[in-house]
Amino acid sequence: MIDLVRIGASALSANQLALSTIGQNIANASDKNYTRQEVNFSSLNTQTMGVNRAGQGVLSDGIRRVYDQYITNQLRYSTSQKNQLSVAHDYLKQMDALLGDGTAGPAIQLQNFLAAFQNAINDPKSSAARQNILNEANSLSNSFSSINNQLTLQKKSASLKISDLTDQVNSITSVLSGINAQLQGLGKKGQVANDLLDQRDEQLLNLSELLDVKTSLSDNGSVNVYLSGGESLVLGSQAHRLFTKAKSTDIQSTDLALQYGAQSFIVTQHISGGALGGTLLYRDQILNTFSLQLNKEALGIADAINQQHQKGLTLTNALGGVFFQDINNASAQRTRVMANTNNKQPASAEIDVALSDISSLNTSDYSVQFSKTVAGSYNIIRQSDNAVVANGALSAVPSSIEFDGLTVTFSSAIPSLGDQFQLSPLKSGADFLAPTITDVRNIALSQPVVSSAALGNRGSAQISEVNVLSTDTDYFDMQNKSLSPPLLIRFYLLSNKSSSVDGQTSAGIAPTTGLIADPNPIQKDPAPTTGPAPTTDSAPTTGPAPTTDPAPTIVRLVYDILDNSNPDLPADLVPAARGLTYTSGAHLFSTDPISSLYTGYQASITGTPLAGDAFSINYNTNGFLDNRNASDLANLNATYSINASGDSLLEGYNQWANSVSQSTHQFDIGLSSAEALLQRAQSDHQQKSGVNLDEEASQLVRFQQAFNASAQLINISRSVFDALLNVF
Amino acid sequence: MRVSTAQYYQSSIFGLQNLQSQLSEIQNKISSNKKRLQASDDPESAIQSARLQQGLASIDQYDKNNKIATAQNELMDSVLNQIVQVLNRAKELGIQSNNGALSSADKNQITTQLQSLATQLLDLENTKDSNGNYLFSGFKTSPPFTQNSAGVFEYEGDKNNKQQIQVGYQKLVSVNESGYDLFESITSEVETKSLLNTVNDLSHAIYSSKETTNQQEIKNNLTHLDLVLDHISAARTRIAGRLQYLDDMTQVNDAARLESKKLISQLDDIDFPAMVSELNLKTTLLQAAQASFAKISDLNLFNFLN
Repeated sequence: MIDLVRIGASALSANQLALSTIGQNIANASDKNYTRQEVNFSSLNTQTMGVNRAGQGVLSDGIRRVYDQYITNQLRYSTSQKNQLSVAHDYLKQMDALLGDGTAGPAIQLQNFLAAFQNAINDPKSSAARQNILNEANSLSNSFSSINNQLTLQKKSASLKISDLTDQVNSITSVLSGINAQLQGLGKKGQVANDLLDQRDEQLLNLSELLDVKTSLSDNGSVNVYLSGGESLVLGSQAHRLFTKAKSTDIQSTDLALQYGAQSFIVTQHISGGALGGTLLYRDQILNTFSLQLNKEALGIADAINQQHQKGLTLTNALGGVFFQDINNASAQRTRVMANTNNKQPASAEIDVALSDISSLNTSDYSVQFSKTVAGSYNIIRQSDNAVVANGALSAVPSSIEFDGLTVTFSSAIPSLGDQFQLSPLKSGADFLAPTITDVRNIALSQPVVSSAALGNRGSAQISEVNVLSTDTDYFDMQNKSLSPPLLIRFYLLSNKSSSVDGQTSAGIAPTTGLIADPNPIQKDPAPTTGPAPTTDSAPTTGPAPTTDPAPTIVRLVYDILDNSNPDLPADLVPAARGLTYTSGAHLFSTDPISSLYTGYQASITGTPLAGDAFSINYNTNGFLDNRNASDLANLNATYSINASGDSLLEGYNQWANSVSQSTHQFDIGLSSAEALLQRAQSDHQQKSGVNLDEEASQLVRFQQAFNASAQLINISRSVFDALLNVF
Repeated sequence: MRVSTAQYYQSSIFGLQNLQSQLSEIQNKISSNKKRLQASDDPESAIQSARLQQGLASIDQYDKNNKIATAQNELMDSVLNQIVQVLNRAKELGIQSNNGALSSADKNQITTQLQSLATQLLDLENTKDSNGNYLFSGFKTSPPFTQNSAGVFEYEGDKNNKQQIQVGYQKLVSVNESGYDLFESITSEVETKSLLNTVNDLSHAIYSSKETTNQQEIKNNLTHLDLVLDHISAARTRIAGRLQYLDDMTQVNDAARLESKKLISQLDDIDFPAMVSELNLKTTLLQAAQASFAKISDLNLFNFLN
């Protein structure tokens, strides 16, 4: 009988425990971090009663969390993935909103700016048209600045956010180390630690919202937390502090480091996932690329306009100069280089970076690394793909290295062993779009050189317009606003008999202006009115020529290019350009910048000139209705290539805007799939560990009945006992 | 499958929110008549649309330039037309003066008339356009034609430069003519003489035409005048051709503009019927979701336990 009481009592207490566990489940039904619990029962050891073996009742083994480690890990991973995308997506949406539907902003401003030159074509001297060009230039500059400011702002805000998130990581890892300490204190016997384990998992899930971590559990339930590189954030009851510090390559930006006692290690590259990973990804990769691309576009525009503007002529008869800031001014070249903060001091090396070819530029920064052992030996690494783009050894300064459209010049001293430098060629690119011109007369809408045919030319030959290639040659006199010298191109016939004295005979006719056609041009060439020519010339006519040379005198049309500074007395160029062979449509001047006949401009004569015909090339003084440079400036979008694939300025911007919208689009898609995966993981987790009230209600009924039945056991036992007593 | 109670509520709310945000996006698209609210909604069509719109802006610019070029060329043509009329009058006077019966008073009168015609011609050759720039001075802003103290007309403008304006991709059209080419460099077998000096010389020859040599001089100048008229007529043909070209370009641009606008509309504008039917579908779905949520959340075992 005692057995029945004992069995009844054990069943009562077991069912009571089950009922209170159900109560606990119902009470926490709405807490998403709560893990539902259930009670495990086992029957008590059997006892031998005579030949029979009877049970001793029930024992509760303890309250178990209904839990699956795989599902929990999946939940954490999905959480960190979703948060990483979500944070980057938020930043991208801001950029995307700024760009509108892809047709606003700089694209329109660039078109308006170029159209302002178009509008000036009709009346290039008009101040209103010129003022409009300047206004549009300022609008263009502002539209780039406003996007650039947004990029800068985002970079700052991302860095702040990184610092905030780092604090949050530290507070979670510190709580986790506390929980670990408690769990270790309880040891393995801990039956009541379910709430602590829930807390531990909640903190780990919170940590996953910030970054992706790896965990390892020990038997007592304490957890070690690691970064993907294996660096521990939490080791037992010890938490390692994560903190931000300025990058050694760029003091404007921050790295993340872990503190281990007195030592610290940079761990930025091992942080991924979660809000922290997402912010780092956006700041250091996506935003960085946007910024480089935008700066390159701005530099391209500044370079295109500046180059063309320098080929022009202003309303003060001066050469154009730069319209926007000079992309290769001395201070810009210097600020593109940042010495690593760990370089040997004092540093005396000076480095400059010039952009020599915009279309070959990569949208990347570079690092220059000097060997730690061999003096002057260097590697230059392109950071976008970690390719070594240049290497060698500096033996003397100044010395220049060229790669990727850049010219890097080392001067003053060779850098020390182990020195490193960060090159940011596109740095502050958008700032170069600020116009340097304030006086509208200084906008160069004309071209500085004009050609003309002499009055009375008898041949059908015509001279082309002059195409200016560069005003940076000796043929331009900036000081006197003139050509140095203006040129005269004069045709005449040259006899084969006098070819040996070409120069002298031609020189003989130089004093005549040649502007009036000679009625008998064949006579003209050998007709030496001055100098030593008569003696050489007389030889063929008086000597043995008639007998020994039956062939007639062959003459051919040639031309001289003369210095026309004094039109009454055209003089030789130095060195002289005489007796040149005429080919219709051929370049008149050299295309080789080293040649003495490289004038910086080009023209050609087509058709058939006659001896005595002449053409002149002059400085376009007061040629204020000349709109040729305005036209060339307006057409830069079609003629200037911003990259190796030959894309125009406008297309360069289109592609930039497209890269923003493409990235946003990708993150739209990525985020919705990450959200779906997270939902799935949450649902899996809830399926396993969540509380279902209907289920609890049915369990409640079940255990209530079991409890009643257990109570009945004692009741019956008492009745049986009473019945037995009543026998006596 | 076990469904936790919290999860049931959470996923129901998520489903409702999702439908509501889809409805709001459809509503935005309908009210703005735009397929894309942001470029990121469809980056590929966004960049295509941007390129087309940029092309459209160029077409508009070309059209604007075309109107200017047309006006300038029409002005030149009208000036040349007037010059031809004046020259014809001068020619009549010259022929009239060859009549031996003229008195010296008559000759004086003809000379005076010719001088006044020369002044008119000078004014015409120095015509300014609507911007106040000389039509026939090339790149120069100073008056191209002047008369020196000896009464001889001189050209001080540009020699072979003319302003050009862009009316299509790589299509330039002249908007002025060099006065040098038009009126100055008129070369016959005998001489190169300007229009004004031909009239001037004719007038001088008539004034002193008692001498027989001057009869020949009058004849020579009349011959040269014919050459001048031919020369100007050739220039007018050139200008007429240019005007025709400008008109053709306008039509080409109109066709291109229409095509671009059609493409842009296809890329940007919503398909209205499809959008409205989607709106109806989503509204129905939302209503169904709301109704089922209300119904199912009412089912709870506790309601039946007493």
